[in-house]
Amino acid sequence: MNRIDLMRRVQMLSFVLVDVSLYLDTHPTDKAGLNFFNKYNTLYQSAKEEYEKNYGPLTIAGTNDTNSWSWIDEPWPWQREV
Amino acid sequence: MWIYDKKLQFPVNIKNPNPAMAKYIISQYGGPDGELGASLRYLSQRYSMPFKQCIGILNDVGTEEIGHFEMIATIVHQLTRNLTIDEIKESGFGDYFVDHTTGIYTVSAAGIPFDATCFASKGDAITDLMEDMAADAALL
Repeated sequence: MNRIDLMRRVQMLSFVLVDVSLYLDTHPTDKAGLNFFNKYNTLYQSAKEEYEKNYGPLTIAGTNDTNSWSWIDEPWPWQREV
Repeated sequence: MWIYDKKLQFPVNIKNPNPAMAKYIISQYGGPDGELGASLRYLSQRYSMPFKQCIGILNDVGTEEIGHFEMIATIVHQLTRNLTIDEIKESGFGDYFVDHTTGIYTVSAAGIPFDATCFASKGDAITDLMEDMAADAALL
């Protein structure tokens, strides 16, 4: 998957987790909600891992550099993706 | 603490610069109902919240608002790229430009810098939740 498509997948899955986690904050014993969160969290983790392996870190913990600190490589999120 | 995630919560890729629109949208950054105020509201109110469900949601919504803050800044940044001096003057963006050029600054559309009097944190859960409803009914 190219960078922009994979970024979009990471963003979509991440958005799901934000919304479901807000629901779970006030419905912490909802089993369907917990299962839904866990399902999408697994998908998110693998998409994030694939993105970082191919296109660079999304968090500081995603770096593994020996020659040059990849964290500062562009694009930053506010830069247009074209 | 917080960890930076090197992505926007929702993508922003603006094709056509529009400084007149930027001058309005900056209010959602640093205006009285903007994302900075929202973020500070929820993150400040969580300390005196007695219920764990509500602590969680104040913490997490407050965090999400920081993500919104970044998206709004990105919109303004992209709307104001490659402007000519005539575009700046004619669009009404000149009032902002004279102080900030195209830098991103927490200010309302009318030019009032961010002011923390736009939110409350009173140490009382019901009072704070009422203020949250007034500010952002989507929280509840």
